[in-house]
Amino acid sequence: MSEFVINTKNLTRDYGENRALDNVNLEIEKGRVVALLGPNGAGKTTFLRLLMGLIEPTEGESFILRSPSRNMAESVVSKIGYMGDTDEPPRWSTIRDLMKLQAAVSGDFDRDFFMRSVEKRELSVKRSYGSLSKGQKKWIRAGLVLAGKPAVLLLDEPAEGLDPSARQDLYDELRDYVTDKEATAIVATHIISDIERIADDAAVIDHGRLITYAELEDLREQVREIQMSEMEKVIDFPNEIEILGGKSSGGTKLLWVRCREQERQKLEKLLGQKATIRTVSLETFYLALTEHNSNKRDAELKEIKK
Amino acid sequence: MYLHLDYQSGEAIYRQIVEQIKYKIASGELKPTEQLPSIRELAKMLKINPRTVVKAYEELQSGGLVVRRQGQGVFIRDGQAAVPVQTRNKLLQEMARRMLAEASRLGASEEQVKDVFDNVMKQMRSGK
Repeated sequence: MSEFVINTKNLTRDYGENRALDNVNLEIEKGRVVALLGPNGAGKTTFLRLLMGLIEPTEGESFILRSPSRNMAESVVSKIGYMGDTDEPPRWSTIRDLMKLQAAVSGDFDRDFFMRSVEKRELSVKRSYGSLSKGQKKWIRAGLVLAGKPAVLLLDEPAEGLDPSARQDLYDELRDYVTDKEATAIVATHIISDIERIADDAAVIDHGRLITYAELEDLREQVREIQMSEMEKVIDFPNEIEILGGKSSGGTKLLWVRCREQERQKLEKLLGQKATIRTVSLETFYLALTEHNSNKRDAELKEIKK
Repeated sequence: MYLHLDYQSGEAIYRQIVEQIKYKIASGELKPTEQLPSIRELAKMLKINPRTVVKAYEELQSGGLVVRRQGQGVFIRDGQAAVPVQTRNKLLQEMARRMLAEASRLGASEEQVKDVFDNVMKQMRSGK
């Protein structure tokens, strides 16, 4: 049926009155590292927990390796490496205990890999989990997940609390793993700068809704920042050009747009000397998307386009 | 082969790879017939998806800068002026700009730079 490793259809989840996830449709191919981005409380954790079948959807459904999250086949469960944001092992268990436990669960456990990763942070396997710092805990849990050789990785804020070099190490390990094993990973985070280096796709969630799902390379090719003077008359943007956001300050207008190269060339001609068009980092793009919530954004955009 | 990827620039990664390899060919750091790293090697080196490397290599291939030999790998194309005129001009301009900036830091005038340049060219020609 589906060639996708992960797919969701109209996936929706309410908590009482509050819609935490709103009609999310997502299809992820094998071999991809997907950065699941969004502000805190956007619905990232809910999304991963739904995929894992830890909570039930209010509407819609999701599949991992064609198996439904609601009733996942044992054979599929054992192929998933899940690292939740809050689900912690007991404080008193030692790193060695955790390793033995994981080895028993995952059948094919790479002990050498795990020991190397423990040594990399100069930790001893005799240490109890509770005695570790927040970052060390994340490191150990990520190491356990990777050593279990999963085909699918679902990681919720795996690098939180790690120092910059450890964050880089962790994401490098993840990238190498995915490339070597042709695995598939979703990494939820609200910090873009670390993940954008190794990720292939970005899925941006805001207020429970999936507002962008695209290849990072495509975004790099297509998203541009237009800077022009407040004094400039408004031009009519061709319809093919998607306006993502904008702001206005100090006599300068900034506008973020997404379009294909052909349309960009048209735009360049249209704007001529009146404006500067430049590439933007993913961070800028993300902020343009999420800084304003949708209603406010539309109102502001009208203002800016005037 | 060392490549540096700049994620802040917002420039597509495959384009950065293409540009840097072009530069290395133009500057002579990569020599004709030299083999490029395999797709996998480069992907792992740069921590990127192998498909991005494939895209970069395909672009270089369609530009005639590299050739792909079945089962052997990707090589810098032999013979002919592999460096497109545009790239070469761009590189020369960059070199000139750097040299002039350096010269002005030394307090040399444009005229002095031109004179020195002419003299060095003469010396090199007669030396040959």
